[in-house]
Amino acid sequence: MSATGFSRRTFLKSVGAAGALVLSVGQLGPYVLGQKTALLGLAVPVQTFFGEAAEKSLRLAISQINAGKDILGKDIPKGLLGNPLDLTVSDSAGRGDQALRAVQELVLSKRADFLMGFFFSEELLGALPAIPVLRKIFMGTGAATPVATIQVSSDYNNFKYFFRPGPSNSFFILQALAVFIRDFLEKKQAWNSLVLFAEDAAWNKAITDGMPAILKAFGSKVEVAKVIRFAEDTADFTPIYKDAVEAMKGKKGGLLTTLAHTGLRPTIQWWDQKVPLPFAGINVQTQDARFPTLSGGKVESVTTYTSAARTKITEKTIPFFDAFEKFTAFKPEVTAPSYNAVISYDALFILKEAVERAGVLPDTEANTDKIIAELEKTDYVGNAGRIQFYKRGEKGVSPLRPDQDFPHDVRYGSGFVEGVFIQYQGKELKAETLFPDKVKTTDSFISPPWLQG
Amino acid sequence: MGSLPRSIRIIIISAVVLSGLPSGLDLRGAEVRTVCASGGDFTKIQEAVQAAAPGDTISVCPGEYKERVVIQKSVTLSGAGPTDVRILGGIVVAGVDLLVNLGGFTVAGGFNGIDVRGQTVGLIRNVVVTKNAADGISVLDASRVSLFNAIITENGTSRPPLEPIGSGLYIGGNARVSLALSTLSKNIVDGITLNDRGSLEASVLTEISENGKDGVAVCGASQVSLQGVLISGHAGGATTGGNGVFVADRGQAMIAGVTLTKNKRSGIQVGGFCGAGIGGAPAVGVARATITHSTVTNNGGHGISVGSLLTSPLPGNEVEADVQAFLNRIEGNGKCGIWVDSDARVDERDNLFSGNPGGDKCK
Repeated sequence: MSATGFSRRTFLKSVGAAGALVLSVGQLGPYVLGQKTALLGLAVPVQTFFGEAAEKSLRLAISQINAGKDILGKDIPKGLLGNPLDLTVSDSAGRGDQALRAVQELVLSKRADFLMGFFFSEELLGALPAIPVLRKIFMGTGAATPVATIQVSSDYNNFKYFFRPGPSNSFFILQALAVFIRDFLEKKQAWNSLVLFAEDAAWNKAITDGMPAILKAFGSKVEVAKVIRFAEDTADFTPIYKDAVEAMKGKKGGLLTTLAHTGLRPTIQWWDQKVPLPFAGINVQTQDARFPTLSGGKVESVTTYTSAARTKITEKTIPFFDAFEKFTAFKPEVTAPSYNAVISYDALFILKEAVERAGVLPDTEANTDKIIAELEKTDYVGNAGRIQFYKRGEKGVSPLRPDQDFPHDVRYGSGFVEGVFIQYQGKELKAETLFPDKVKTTDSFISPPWLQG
Repeated sequence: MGSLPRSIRIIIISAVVLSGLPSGLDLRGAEVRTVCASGGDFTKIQEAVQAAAPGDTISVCPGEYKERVVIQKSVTLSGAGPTDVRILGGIVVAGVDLLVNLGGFTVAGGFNGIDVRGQTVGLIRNVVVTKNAADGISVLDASRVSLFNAIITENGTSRPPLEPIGSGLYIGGNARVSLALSTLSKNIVDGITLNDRGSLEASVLTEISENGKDGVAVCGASQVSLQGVLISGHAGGATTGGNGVFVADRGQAMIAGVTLTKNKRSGIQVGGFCGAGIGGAPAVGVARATITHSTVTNNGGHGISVGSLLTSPLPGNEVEADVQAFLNRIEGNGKCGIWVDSDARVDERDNLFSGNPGGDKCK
């Protein structure tokens, strides 16, 4: 007990009474809300461009949400149900074990109300087992492994908390690649063969395994001349490129890349060795605004798939890219959003709308379920397109896995989220959109300098 | 544990306690707050923590407390004993530069049983940590913890096809733990996992047995010193685990007077694959171990396995694994006494070999 005349118990009773008063006043309505900060927990590899870009994107979104304005300057309700929104970040470090500990930290130590993030599929796979225990809504915004939503399908009650507003999972990325190969590389560039050039990682296994079958299923005559899956610590690509060139002798085509973790080294060596095959497909690292500097400018003609580029995918896309560049409150040197930054921004507005439709914050299991039910009804036009989630039991959406549903994965396809193919062109290495036609910014597909003329 | 003379136990406990006590903790004016179902100052532990001032003690009466306790200040949390006090929901110590003293209770039903972060200096003693969803005790963020008289058992979750999670004790993020007089058994992953520059000194009368993967796994430039520890009965999975001690990816181990027995694969494996680094790239670097005065018997594979068939050294590293082994008894193992891969190096002297069917030393 305290030595003062005012005993601790009396003091605590007073505090308790005051607390009860505050709680009862809290029932009066939204005008007295706004005292609790709703906290979004972001788990990303903070040392990478992709972690920085995602954080910047969310800080931009939060500044707009707390100010009550959307990307087009229209008025929206402030905060989350009137409560200010804030962000806390933990480092997932590109590793499964660290990702697991990052989400633990966000929920247990930092008391995040919602979770978002990851870039590498290995991170998502490492942290997935925590989802049934932490029971917090998690918006996956970077990793493409289909395992996550297959888990939602097979064990809904434990994994219903996971939603992926993007990127499309690997099966749908494969579809996007197949359409690009058929409608652009084959029809417009007269490719008849390609070498699949892939880092050996979890996210692209479905792509390299399924490519020959899906090309055939999509009516493409392009042949897969060789499949190369190289170890991510490969130092010297010389023999690999020799094999690829050998496999493409007498054929027209190039290297169909599926690179997310390793783009810098293979791209520089491709350039330095003047490999006589164009580089097209997925090369995520090129979205790092520092890539031209890091590679010494050796990115001209490289083509990559991404969720969105600075082109009119929706009325919000170009304003978002411009606002991102102008937002200097965090990492001003990060001037262009990577795909996961685009998705993170959309994800937060999707979450906000679901919370507002539900009318609750996720402070109890029942309220969390209400928000999940509203998230499942999402129909939101964001920067990357019109975003809906696949439903439970909705099968036949992927020709490669017709018997599999992918609940809570972003709906892929024309009219929804398709992604775009961009190519770095000119001395300024401007990202021009090649495909799909409806959003293209150029008709010109350039070859690397040593193949020009 | 009971067979040790009382005087020696007192010396050991005193040493451990003193090594873990925060030197700057000012207890002047500290208060004791009681938590009881009835008749105490509080009925919830968390309420007592909220009301406490730094340096206060929270004394918990016998009973079951269904709550997650979050400690963000320097306090002592003391229960009436692990059989009498059960905290169902876990304990999170999350602040910066905290000094905490925890003990006298069982912790179950949390994510991690006890989660220590934020450069905390802590003493954890006389606890049972069991049936938590992930790690029994997790120590991160350059925290320093002395842990003794603990039973850490049956923590973790297995939900195939996902990777299982949950070791008895996880040490990472440059954290340091000293451990004695404890048992870590039947946890889903390892008895003890060290990663990301974790550091452990484990000594006398500690038993690490029958955990799901390895007894002690040392990865990511972590260091471990094991003295007088018994490590046994690790079965592992179809292709990994099952070693008494596993050291890889820049890990370093000093193993002295340790008994390693009845593990499915090797008593000690130095070198191998720890898991993916950033972007999924294999994380490998030279692993080093010094093994002395230890007993390595009746393991299913090699007594000591140096190097691996799975990986090769990173460019710039001469070898994958580097081991010194002196004055050990290595007998009755399923394959070789000491097996050495071509990209590994061993300096072995004065070891006593017998009954290893693959030979005393083989490549």
